[in-house]
This record gives sequence, structure tokens and C-alpha cells, in this order.
Amino acid sequence: MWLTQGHEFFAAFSQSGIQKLLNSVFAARPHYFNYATAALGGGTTGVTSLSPLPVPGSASAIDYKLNFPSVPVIQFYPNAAAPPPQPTPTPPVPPLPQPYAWTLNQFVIFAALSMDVLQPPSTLIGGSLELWAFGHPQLNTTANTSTISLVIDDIEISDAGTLGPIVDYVSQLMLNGLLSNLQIPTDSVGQGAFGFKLEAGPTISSQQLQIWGSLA
Amino acid sequence: MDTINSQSLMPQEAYYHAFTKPGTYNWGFMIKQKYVIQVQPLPGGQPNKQTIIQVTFQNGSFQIPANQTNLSIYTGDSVSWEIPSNAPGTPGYSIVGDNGQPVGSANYDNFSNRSLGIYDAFSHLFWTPGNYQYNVSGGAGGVQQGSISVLPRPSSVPPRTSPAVVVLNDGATPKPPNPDPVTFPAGTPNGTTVYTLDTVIWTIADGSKIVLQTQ
Amino acid sequence: MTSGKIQKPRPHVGKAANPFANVQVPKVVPATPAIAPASDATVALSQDALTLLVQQALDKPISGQNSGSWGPFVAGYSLNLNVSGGAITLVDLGQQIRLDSVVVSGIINLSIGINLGAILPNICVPPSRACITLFGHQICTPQVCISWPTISVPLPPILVPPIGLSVNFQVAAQQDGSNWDVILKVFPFSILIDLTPTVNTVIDAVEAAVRNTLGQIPGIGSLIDDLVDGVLNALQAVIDTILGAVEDLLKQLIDLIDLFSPTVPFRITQIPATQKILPAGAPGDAEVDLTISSITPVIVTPTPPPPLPIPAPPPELVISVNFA
Repeated sequence: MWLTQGHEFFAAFSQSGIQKLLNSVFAARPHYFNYATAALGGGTTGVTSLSPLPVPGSASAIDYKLNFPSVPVIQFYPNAAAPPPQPTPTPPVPPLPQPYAWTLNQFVIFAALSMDVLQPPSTLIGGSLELWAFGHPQLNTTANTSTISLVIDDIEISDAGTLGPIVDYVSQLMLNGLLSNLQIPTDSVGQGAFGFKLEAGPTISSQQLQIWGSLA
Repeated sequence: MDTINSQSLMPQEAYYHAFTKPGTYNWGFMIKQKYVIQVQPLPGGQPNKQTIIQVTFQNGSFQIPANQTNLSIYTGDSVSWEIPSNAPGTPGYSIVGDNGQPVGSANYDNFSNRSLGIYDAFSHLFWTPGNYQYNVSGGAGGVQQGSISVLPRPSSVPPRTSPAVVVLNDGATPKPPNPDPVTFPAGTPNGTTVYTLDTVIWTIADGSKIVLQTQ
Repeated sequence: MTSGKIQKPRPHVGKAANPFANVQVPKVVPATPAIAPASDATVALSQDALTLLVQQALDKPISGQNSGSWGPFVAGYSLNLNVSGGAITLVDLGQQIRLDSVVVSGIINLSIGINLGAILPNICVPPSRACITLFGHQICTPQVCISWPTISVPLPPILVPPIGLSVNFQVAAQQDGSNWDVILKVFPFSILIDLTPTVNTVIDAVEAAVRNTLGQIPGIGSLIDDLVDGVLNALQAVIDTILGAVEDLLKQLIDLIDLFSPTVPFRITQIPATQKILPAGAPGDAEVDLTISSITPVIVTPTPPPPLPIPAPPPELVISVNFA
């Protein structure tokens, strides 16, 4: 591999590196991954609150909770093989749903979702779902800094059924909360002796999030 | 060109005074001070000798060796004062002394290079070549003039063993300096010319209050 | 298809219909599967980048001064140096970084003080007193003994003969408090300096100053040549040592440059050991960090695939970073 490709400087986060970052967020910010109505713990520390679903023609409402029992898995193009072992047990990542296929500059976040609906007074009816989020890296530049964020282009949820809109909503909350805060500074592995100017990237390829630049 | 003024002694010069009368003389620099020369009658058969006082200029004042602050000599002996190095910045000085007797009395005796008297001498070592003209003044004989031509010393001429002597006579019967112009005596090895690094000594055969000065 | 924030919820029409059926997603299959990278993050610097970093580090003026005494001679010397140039070659075999074509040039200001009294013989004029008999007694006239001054000889500024430096480094990573540094460790090297052409300049200047000073002593005349020779002989005995001291200062100044200092290694880049990605917020919003567990710098020759340009590019410095 010719990493610098004619530039002076190359830096990359690999898939395993970003995964470790996700692992840290999963441990530090549980409320991104746990959603419930108040009756099921929503609004407490670590659980984002949801409104109960109204039942048409009734005064009652449905209490439910949605959570991600394990940390979502991120994969970078051209991940066609199995991902490297994860530090926390995760279900094996299935192949991409049809008709999706890996493209250059693409990442995919796969998450297993668990959903429970409360049948009063205290019975939980549970189910599970799979979520795929497809996206690409984006460079954000302000006057002083530049960061890379991961931007979602598509979501595919399997087995949602009529609860599709609810799951979509929660997925948005989770992904927005997670990804909009996950701004990776472009100089986070290059501080110290030199400043640099971004010239190419960010690109996802070879299972890495890559940038190239020249020394400032 | 060298500057010569017998009233102000410089490092390459000396003043000589022969003591003819016994007595206790006090002397000093510029004015009479606490230095003492005791003169006693000369024992028969003893030759005259010269006591050389080597003057130094330190910490702003003129000094002499401690063992010469109280000299004992005999009549006919001479004392000379000299600064034996070319230390830069040394000012000119004069020597003044007398035997303490009332001024003008028959026994009064004094000495000073500011006023050369009979048997006094003054010497100068010439550093730079040139044609020197000098005046001898102050004596009863008016002003006498003399000259000396000093040439650059060839490396072939070794140092002289004796100075060139000029006899001054500015008393009742004044005469021009002898010899004039100043030369070494005929027959002197390596010629009669006065060169740089040669010494000339003027001695007073007659006269008093004499001053020698280049023009 | 949007970029940025997620779209609002779309109405589902049941599991059967694929809501994304109309969305254009390129269906490109990669040519060859790439090997999963071994480290969590990677930084690579090209040979040209290292050359730039090194040139920046070198391109600073250097100066220093010292003095010393050697018998009757005192020398004060100051150096104003420029270091320029430098080209880096990364050597895969043996993991070495070679720096060539560094040029040290500049100016030496040297002044020499001489205590002539400690060298020149005691000379009195005349060598012994000249005596005569006057009016019956022996009169001897003074000798004047010459007191020799101390003189100072300024020399014209001496150009340092341009010195070329070639140096080898090894690259390493070390933890320094809360940071990881990727550093260059310099192998001991020798600096060849030859100031012997300067010897004649110094001797000529001293001769001129001594001759001028002695020439002002009246009557010195024919003595002057021997006296000057005496001083120059004394100088010959120490001139190499004096210039050796100037060379020592030159070497010390070069050693003090970070890049060449054996004790202060040159830092290529610095990475905080713990990086705060998200600060702590409300309860439930703990800080999110990445902590580095290892850093390994290695020089690697680019290999195919993908096809490399012709001629093949030079090796790169590849820094592999792993997080806890």
C-alpha cells in the first residue's frame, strides 16, 4: 500500500478504531441506546423518554420500550468478510440486505433492536428487529477546526411491521444523538510538531476512514 | 621628537647632585619633605661614590625605596634620582632639598633640578631622532644655545659604555655648551655621532639657577 | 436520499414493500477484498514531509560565545551560524532515517589579547649603565627598562568553512507524561571542521598589531624584529589549541540543535495519550475518551496493489496507533 499517495501526510481511523469509539459511547451514554415510556423507566438516568402510543377510541395508551442490547457494529467499505472480533458480545452481523452492496466511501452501522410492549398490568411482550444505517463521511470546517462526521444516507429496518414508524423514530433519535456528537477532529492523530492542511478525503476505503494533507 | 626640560624629570632622565658640605639635608618631590640625606666628612683615601635613588610613581604619588628614605653619605659623594622604566602615564617631577640652615646664610646649602647649580648634572636618553635645539638659561651669563643632532641607531652600532658629556658654563664667564653640537669625543669607538638610545649628560661647570630646555 | 440529518418517518406499507426500492444506491462490487488493517488508527508521513519538518527545525540561526586563556594569550570568540538544507531518505532495511546535505556556515568573531610582558624579555636600554667620571667621581646614567603593554588584537570576521553534515536516525515512540511522542533518535556522528586556513589570518593579524604597538616605543628600532618573532613563536605554540577551542564551541552549538542532540530527541509528532472525544455533560452523559495503548512507528516501502507509479515511490514512515 502506498499510503501517502503523493501527499505529505496520511491519517486514518480504521474500522476497529471507530468501533472502539462506539464502544466507549455505548458505555458512557446509555441514553442513546435505551428508550422507554415513563411507565417503563423512560426519563430516568440513562433512558430517553418516549410518549405512550395513544389507542384510538380509548383513553388508555400503550407503554413500550426500545433498546439496543449490544453496541452497534460499524463496518467500513470494502467489508465483505466477517468483521474483526468485538470486545463485547454482539450477534453475528448478517450480510447486507438486498439490494444493497458495498460501495467506495461507505460505512454501515448494524444494530440489533429489542422492543417490548407493556400489556397491563405488567406483562412485557417482546420482539427483536435489525437495523441497517448506510452513510458516508463528511468534512465539517469552521474557522479554527475541521472535523469528520458520519452522515446517514439510508436506513433499512427489517421485521418492523406496523411498528415501523415507531422504530424509525427511535432509530433517528439514536443515530442523530450518536452521530451528530461524534465529530472526529482531523488533527486528533497529528498534533504536536506540525500543523497540516487537508487536501483529500475523508474517504472510506480499505476499511479505513482516510484523509490526506500537506504540512502547514 | 623628545621634549627636554631639566625642571621636570621624565623616565629617561636623571638628576645628579654632588654634596660638598657636611650636614643633614631634608628633601622631597616638588617641595621639601621628610626624606633625609646625612652628609659626613669623607674619610681620607675613600673614593667618591654615587647613590642612585630609583623613583616609582604608584597610586598617584612618587615613591622611593624604604631603605633610601634616610641616606648616609660623605662629602664629595653624589646622589642621583631616576625613574628606571618607560611606564606610561608617569608625570614629570622635581627634587627639592636643603640643609635647614637659614636661607642666605653662609652655611645654607640647597639642591634642586629646578635650579641646577655647580657640579649638578642632568642626563637624557634620546628615544627619537631629530635636530634638537636647546637653551641654557637662568644663570648670570644669560641664555646660551646649543644643538644636538640625533640619528636613528644602526643595528651595527652597539650600546655606548659612557654618555656624551656637555659642559655648561653660565656663570660670570659664560661660554656656549661644550661641545656644540653635541657629539661623542673624537676617537670614540663606532664614531662620534649621537644615535637614538644614547645618553647625553649636561654638567654645570659654573653658574646657578640653570634651566636647560629644548626649543 | 438525503445527506446530513435523517429524514422524518416515512409511512410504512408493511413488510412486503421495500420503501427504498426507488432509491438509487450504486451497486458496485469492489475488485479485490482488502486486508483488514492491523491497527485502530494509522498516520503516514512521506519522505518529503519529513524533509520539510527537518528543514524547518534546522532553519534557525544559532549563536554562542566563549573565552579562554592560554598562557599569555586570551581569546574571546563568538559564533553566528546558519544551518540550511537537508534531505531525508527513509531506509526500510535497518529502519533508519538518513539526513544528508545539511550545510553549516557562518561567521566567527575572534579577538586575541596578549600580555606582552609575559612573553617579551626584560629589555633595558642601554643593556648596562653608561658611566663616566665627572669632577672626580664616577657617575652612571640610568637604564630605561621597557614595560611591555597588554594589547588586544581584533581580527576581521572569519568565515566558517562550510561544513557538510550527514546523520542517521532511528524512529521510536515514547510516552512523555500525558502525550505519546514519535521521535527521532540520532546516532552519534562526527563533525569535521578544519580551521587551519584561519591560522595564517590570525598570525598575520597578531604580527601587525604587535609590530604596531612595539613600533611606537621610541628607539625600539632594530630590536623590533626579534621581539615580534618572540611573540609569534609563543603564539605558534598555542594557536592550534585556541582554534581547537573555537571548533569545540562550534560542535557544542550543533549538538544543542534539537535534531542533533543526543539528549533531547527531535519530536516528529505528538499525540495525546487520552483524547476527549465527548466531554461529560448532564448525569447520564459521561465523558467519552479514546486512550492510546500503543504506538509503533515503522518505515515501510510501498507495495502493490494498487499499481504504483513508475518510478516506485520512496518509503513512508507509518505510525500504527492502537486504542484501549
